[in-house]
Amino acid sequence: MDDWKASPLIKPFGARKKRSWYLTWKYKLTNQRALRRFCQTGAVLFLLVTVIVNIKLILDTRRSITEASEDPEPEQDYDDALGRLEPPRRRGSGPQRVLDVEVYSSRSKVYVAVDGTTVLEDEAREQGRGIHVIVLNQATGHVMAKRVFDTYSPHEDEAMVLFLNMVAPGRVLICTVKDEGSFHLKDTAKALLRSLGSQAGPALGWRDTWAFVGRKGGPVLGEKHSKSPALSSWGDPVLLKTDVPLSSAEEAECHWADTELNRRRRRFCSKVEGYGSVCSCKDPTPIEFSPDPLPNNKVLNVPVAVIAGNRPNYLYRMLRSLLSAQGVSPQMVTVFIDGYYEEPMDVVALFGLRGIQHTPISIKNARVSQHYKASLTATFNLFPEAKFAVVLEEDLDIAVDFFSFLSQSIHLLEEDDSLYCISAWNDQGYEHTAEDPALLYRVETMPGLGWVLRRSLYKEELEPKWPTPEKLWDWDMWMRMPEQRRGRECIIPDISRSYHFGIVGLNMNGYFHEAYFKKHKFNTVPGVQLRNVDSLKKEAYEAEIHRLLSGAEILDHSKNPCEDTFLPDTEGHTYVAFIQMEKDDDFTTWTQLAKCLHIWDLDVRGNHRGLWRLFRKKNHFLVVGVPASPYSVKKPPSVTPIFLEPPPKEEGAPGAAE
Amino acid sequence: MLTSSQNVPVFLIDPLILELINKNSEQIKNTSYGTTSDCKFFCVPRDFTVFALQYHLWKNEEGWFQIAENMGFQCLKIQSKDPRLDGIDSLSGTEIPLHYICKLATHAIHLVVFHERSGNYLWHGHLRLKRHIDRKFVPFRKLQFGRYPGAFDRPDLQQVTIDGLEVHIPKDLVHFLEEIPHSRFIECRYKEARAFFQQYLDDNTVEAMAFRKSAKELLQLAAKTLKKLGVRFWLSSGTCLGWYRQCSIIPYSKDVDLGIFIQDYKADIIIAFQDAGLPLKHKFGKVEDSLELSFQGKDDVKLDIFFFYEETDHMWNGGTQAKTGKKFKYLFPKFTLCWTEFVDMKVHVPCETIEYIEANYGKTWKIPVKTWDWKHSPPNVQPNGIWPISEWDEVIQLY
Repeated sequence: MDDWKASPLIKPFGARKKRSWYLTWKYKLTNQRALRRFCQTGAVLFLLVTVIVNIKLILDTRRSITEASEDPEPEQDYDDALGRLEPPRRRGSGPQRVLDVEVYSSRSKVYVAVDGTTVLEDEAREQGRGIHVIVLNQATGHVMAKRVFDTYSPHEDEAMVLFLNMVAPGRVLICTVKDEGSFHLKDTAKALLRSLGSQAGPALGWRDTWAFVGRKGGPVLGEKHSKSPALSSWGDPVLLKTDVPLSSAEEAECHWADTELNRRRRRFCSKVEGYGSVCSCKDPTPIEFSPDPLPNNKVLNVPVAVIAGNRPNYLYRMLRSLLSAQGVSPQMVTVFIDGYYEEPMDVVALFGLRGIQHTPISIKNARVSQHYKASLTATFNLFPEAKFAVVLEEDLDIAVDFFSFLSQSIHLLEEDDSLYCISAWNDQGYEHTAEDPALLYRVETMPGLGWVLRRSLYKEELEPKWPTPEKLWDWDMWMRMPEQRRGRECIIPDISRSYHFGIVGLNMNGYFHEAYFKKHKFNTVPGVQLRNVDSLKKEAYEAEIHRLLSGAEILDHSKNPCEDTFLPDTEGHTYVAFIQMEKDDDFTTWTQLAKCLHIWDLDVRGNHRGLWRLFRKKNHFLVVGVPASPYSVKKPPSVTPIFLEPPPKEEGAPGAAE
Repeated sequence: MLTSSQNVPVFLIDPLILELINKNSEQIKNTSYGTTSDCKFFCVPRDFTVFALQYHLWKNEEGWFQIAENMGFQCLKIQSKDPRLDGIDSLSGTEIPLHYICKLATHAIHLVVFHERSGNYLWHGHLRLKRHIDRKFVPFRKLQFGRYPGAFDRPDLQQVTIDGLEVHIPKDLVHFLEEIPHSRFIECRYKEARAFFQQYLDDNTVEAMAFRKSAKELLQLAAKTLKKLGVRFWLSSGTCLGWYRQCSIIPYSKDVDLGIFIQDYKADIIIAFQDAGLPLKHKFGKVEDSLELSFQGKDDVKLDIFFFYEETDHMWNGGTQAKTGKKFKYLFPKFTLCWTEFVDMKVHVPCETIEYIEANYGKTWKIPVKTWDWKHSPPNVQPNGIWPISEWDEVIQLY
């Protein structure tokens, strides 16, 4: 038995007693070598099992103790579970405190450690390329911001400049390059790095490695750089070790007047960085907006659910616009954060709003659609009297008359059960295709992006059959399916009351956003009076469409509809064009037309019974699909519907939804 | 004495004062009564005055605390997580206030925060003292509210002038005063229910969802009908098990089960249900013995109402086998009634739920069983003789 060594995995506690009786028993049993070997293996296995059982027992006991304790504090449980970064321990006390900081830069890995605690580690493949930036609080050493700018790609250097400019003077800045950070690092960015005192940053070359530690506004506390010897290879890995002296807490904070608002501001600004003037000592931007109240506000008591992930800067921008909108009532707003993220919660607290974190037990549940479901259910639970809920996302700007728009139209949802939702977003409302802020449409598609949901629709229809986690459906795609929509329509404005500014997210990529969202029109006029809202009801709308079509001038169908000259250079006219549409689901020509008009063409949006309504050159432009649309009767026999040939099959458009 | 200047939406719920007001209601209607110098109600010696704070109407939460403290009050705020989020897949968020206790000299104002819940009722939380709180701040034992969480029908309010002070009180004082001693609320065990579904998976088939929907509607209709009659009821048998074990309706249970104390029986129950569109399906037993009613709901869902008889040391309800006239008796330990929330409704369940369920389903109630014989499966069933044939026409009625 003397040659037997315990596996290092086996911890002594709990198992010892069992081992002794087992060994006694084993010695009595045999001296034979083979059997002994067998028993040894068995012993190791048995011990392992015992240890595991014991550990589980201990854990279970501990858990049940926690549960049974008088006042469980769930936040702390989460802290333990996620191993949140603790504030780095400090050496000594008083003015001489220093942090020891390690920064590593290489082709495939970067890391940053503060007083031995790793605050950044990225060695994932094909990820995290570019310049990683970390901001530390100069008094506490806390990580206040962590960003990566892929300066190999265009425009990322601009984002970096924007960010670095927002960081308050005195903060500790740490930069490190992974893989490549110079290709699109332009002069402005290099000049900024120079102003921070960096030697190597402004001269950063193709595939160089670089590590930098400095105080914003100086001095530099350490820098290392290694040039790449050839185009096809990288600079040597560099490891920078440096001491960072901490300053006093007073130095790190601003001297704002002691008000409730400033207390919120102080809490926020001592924790996070990168929010610009909200933390400015001299002239901080307000965090309370008090927009004018909305007279006769019908949506004052409608709860607002903001669905958020971990994009705190987006959330910050979104909440600013939301709280500035006329008629908002902040106590009706709840922000639902998908995951246990601190920084979005800090943003929510800054504005004094209610925040709720959603931390599903299993990863599988973390799908966006489950987050949506939990958020909607919670909203109607928190406001049991509410008949409606406004659903927003963190990457939207909210128009100043968003609530005014809803206040004027919400009665439609109550009075017309052929309606599915009211949405602030017009999928086809681009700068060149939307014109009239007082005009509303009925559409068969569900645009989302700022919309109103009826409680009865959610509680009676959607919630009970919401897609379960194992179904790989997007919630919005699911809501658009005929089984759910059941022929009902949504009310939308011609000019959107929300603006989708999001780029970096689950569903989006930069090119896609540029092409489909950037040129969207967004209403900035306050207090728009909507026109003839009751004409949006089912029957009235049909009458309205017939009236419109009867008065519309028929365009010259021999011209190419993609040419600018297809519409005359007039203003304020109503024109109609007839396109080929054999069946209800034949969108061949429409898709080609949408493509050449540079509007949404990835799927069919904005249609109402084979009719599309938009603006061209300040004229109302109607497109009717013949013969599928019931409005085909308005086509004179002499007019041949336009047919556009789809291009030969090729790779699809960049895969994305929304 | 009151912080009403701050627009805090409160109404008086102090049982002592309300009781006095109720007795003197005639005098209060007389406007000349009660000048500022008079103090017949608020000056009755006691340690606390209790108000309910309607949280959803409260706009200036942040500033209020400060103002109260500036006026010389010493205030204690008890807050906790929001139970309205508990039923939903792991949400945690901003805590909600449950109680404020503000003392000035020897008297204290107890503000019980009433939150709106699904099912058109108001809920207040348990006043639980965290470790760091000074247990001698006020004589907590003498508090009238907060020993348990509570649930109340949303009261209509009226403004009255008492001792020269304008206050809101519940319009129906008698009803409100009756509610107070029976207001104890128990939350569904959402965490355990989630664990149950982790183990057994939820049945999300179309049939299961359709049954849940019909059963929910039937329960809502039954609750409405019984409420109109003023008859107390509670969730019993499978419906109670569904609530306790999984916070939802068991999809394969095929009926909705309610319990009613026989002393609450009213002859017009049958007619009331018929008027509500629920015809009588069968009636077993009689008021004096083993009464049981069954009503036919929509979509083949049945509503079973069991009447409970009280003995000195236990409760029981009866069963009857239609074919043979055999009688059965189901024994339960004594229990009281608590409020809970179930399928968006405020309903009663036995407060001593676990004892009730274990009597009915045994210690293995956590394991789903799809085949259940009501004559033999329950551990608390006893044969109870046989109905005399002469009574069969009365005690076995099938429709």
